Amino acid sequence: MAQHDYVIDNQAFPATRADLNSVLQAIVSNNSGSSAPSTTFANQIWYDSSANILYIRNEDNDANIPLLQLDQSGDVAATLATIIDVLDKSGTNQAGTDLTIRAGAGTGTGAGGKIILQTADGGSSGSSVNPHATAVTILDDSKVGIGSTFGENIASSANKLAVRSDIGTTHYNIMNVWEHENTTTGIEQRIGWAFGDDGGGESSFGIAGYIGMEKANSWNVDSARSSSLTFATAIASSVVERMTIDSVGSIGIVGRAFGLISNGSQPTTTLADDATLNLAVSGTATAGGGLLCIYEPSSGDNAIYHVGYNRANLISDSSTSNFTTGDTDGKNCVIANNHTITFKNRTGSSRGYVFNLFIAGGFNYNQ
Amino acid sequence: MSITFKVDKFVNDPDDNTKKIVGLRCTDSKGAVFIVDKKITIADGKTDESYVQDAYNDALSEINEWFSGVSVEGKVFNPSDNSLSDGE
Repeated sequence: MAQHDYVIDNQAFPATRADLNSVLQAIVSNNSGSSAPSTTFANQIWYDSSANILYIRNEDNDANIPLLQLDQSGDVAATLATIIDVLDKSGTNQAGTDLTIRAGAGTGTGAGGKIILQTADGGSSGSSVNPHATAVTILDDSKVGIGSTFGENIASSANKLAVRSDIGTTHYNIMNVWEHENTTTGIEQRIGWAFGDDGGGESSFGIAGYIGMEKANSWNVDSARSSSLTFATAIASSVVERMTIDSVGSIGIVGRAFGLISNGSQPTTTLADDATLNLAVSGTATAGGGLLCIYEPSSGDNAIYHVGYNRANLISDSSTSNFTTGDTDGKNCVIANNHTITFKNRTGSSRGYVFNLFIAGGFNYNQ
Repeated sequence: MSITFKVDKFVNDPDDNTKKIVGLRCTDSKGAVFIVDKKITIADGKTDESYVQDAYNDALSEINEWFSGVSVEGKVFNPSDNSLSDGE
């Protein structure tokens, strides 16, 4: 470890020899010292042995540019460069050079190294250096975690991407997809899914469906910012839009009646004998009405009611009077009590039911 | 048995002021729902937890009967070895 002013003084030979040896020591140790050399030169490399940082002097010889920080215990180096910049190509139509960032490979069954990106969030006022935290982790099996290390609970069950947020507010966007500077009505952004193996040929894989958000107008002024939400599924290799929620909340369903599933497997709610289920609460005394459909799979009995504020009228009953209004022993009962619409199983045994409520007005469907 | 128990009713019985109606919404790991209501005698100093505990104990046989059914429903039966499985 040595530094030198790189000037051989006019002196007797023994002192000259010692001076030359000092120069050589400075050269072989990269001008190492606990601080910068007292005499510096443009583009001179020197090593700060107290901070373990390798510097190069700038062209003006008035500042030090840090290059590497060396971990003398782990015998590894950390770059202090603020930009990784691959040289651009020159000439005509030349492809740019790839940049590869590569974690260390293990041996045998040993896991490969992770690529870990860390940042330091702003802290409280003061001069303390804020601590770094991992922002993005890429595992050896190419899993990516944003705000997640993949070593924790839910993230560990994700196959490729886990996003974690610790924000405690009620509503926020964990991600925004922004189509910037486009004013064409009708353009739809989609998040899609694909299945199949592309190694098996074009016919063995394809798009399985998507969720799309479409501009209902141009979005170039505040008064023209409406959208619709679309859900699409695949049938026999064709992706078809199946449901749309438009800008005023209307729901359009294509290819299937609302509330019905073709195999009859709508989820049932089982009620013990004398148990009640609050179906709906109307918002105000002037709230609208609803059409309540009830199906009891074990018997096949079903009924339709007109429900609303303090109203439960039986419109149709497929059974021999197994459905009724009011709290009646031995019956399936729909009870209206002011704003609350309740179903009560008074049949004498535990039963499963399917409920569908089609409403107009200010109802809260509690099922 | 993996069932989540949520208290969905906790009101005094409008027809009997000595009772409190405690409803339990029981949901299994597949989303099947069972609702059971129990009327528990009101007692001074009785905690909310104690009312729910009493309702749970009263309903336990019904809950077990329901769960014994839904735990099998939806499973795939393999006649070759008489086994039931979750997969297809």
